[in-house]
Amino acid sequence: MQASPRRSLIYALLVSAALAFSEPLRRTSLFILRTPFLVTKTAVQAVLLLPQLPHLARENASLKTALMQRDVELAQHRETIRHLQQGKALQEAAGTARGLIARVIGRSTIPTQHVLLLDKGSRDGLSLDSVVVDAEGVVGRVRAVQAGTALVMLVTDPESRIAGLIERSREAGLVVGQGRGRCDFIYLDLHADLQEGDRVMTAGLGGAFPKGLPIGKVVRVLRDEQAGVASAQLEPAAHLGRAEEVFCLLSGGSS
Amino acid sequence: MIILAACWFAHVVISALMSSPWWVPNVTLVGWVMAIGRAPNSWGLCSLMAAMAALLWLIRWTHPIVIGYLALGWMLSLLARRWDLTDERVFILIVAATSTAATLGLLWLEELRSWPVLGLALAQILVTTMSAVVIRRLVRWAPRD
Repeated sequence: MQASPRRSLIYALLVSAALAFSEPLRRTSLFILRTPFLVTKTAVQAVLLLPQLPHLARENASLKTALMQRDVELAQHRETIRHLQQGKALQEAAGTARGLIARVIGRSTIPTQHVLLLDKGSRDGLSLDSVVVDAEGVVGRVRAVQAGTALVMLVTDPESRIAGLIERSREAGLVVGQGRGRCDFIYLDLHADLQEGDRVMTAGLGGAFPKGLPIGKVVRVLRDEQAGVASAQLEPAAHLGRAEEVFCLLSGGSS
Repeated sequence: MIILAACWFAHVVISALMSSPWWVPNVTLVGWVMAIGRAPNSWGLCSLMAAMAALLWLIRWTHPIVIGYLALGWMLSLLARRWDLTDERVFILIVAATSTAATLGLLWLEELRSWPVLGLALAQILVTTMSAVVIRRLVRWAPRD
């Protein structure tokens, strides 16, 4: 039995109303209607692109190479920025003292003589007993200098002697290297006011080291009642084992 | 001589990478013992080369250390004439003894007398001896001087 024209019209109006007012239904129906067109269009594009594939492959390889080069340049720029920031930190740590930045290019192979080799020397203004610091504290002083290089004796070297004082209590003593990555703070009174965690600064005595530069932190206090003296073990403030760049104060002179 | 130079270069590189010199194997000493073991008659030149390598870093006791290198080198040449230093066990024993003499001599010279420093010195002697085993195996393929 054929549907009457009136019934067909009513069905068509109902479907149209559903499509018009039901968002999910409209989207689904449009997706179904468009899919064949999409498939056909993709197939035509693929056929048209086939001849261009070799050129696309070459262009892809060239872009990858350029990207890698940019990555390398970016890494180098990052290193330059780090170097500049380190230099700024070193200069801030040294305050208003005149100086220059030097790179560490070697470390001692003799375990009882703790020295660093710097890439600056007498022609750059360095002299014997020039003080060397990093952003954290005192590294040491110059003990041998040539035209283009200098040997720096670290604060942990057994021959290193620096007059120091406790930042908090102003107790004065002598910082001596122990040859094993640590320093001792000696010649303190038995009842000296010092405790673990105290910071030790340069006292400015003797003329070599300016006053107020951090030397290290107290990690252990020893009091010898029989001898009537106290001493402390210090952990150096400077990153002696990881030093890459240091700041050399040019106002140092021979002691 | 080439072995000694290569060992010295390796020593410098390792020192630059390590934060504490006590944990750096004395590779120069290993190359020095190896060089004298292969050519005992050139002990003077080898010892002088090893001393010059150390001179780069010395800020004190220069003359005693150079004399110490020459004295140890002379003793090594005597041992090399009596024993076969190319034998692995003899070589490692001689390296351990030379390293002990050199390290304890440095401690005596610097008047470093503490248990922690002695412990570090023993650690250095140990890593130097262990590095001798590695270098001995590597050099097996190298031509003689």
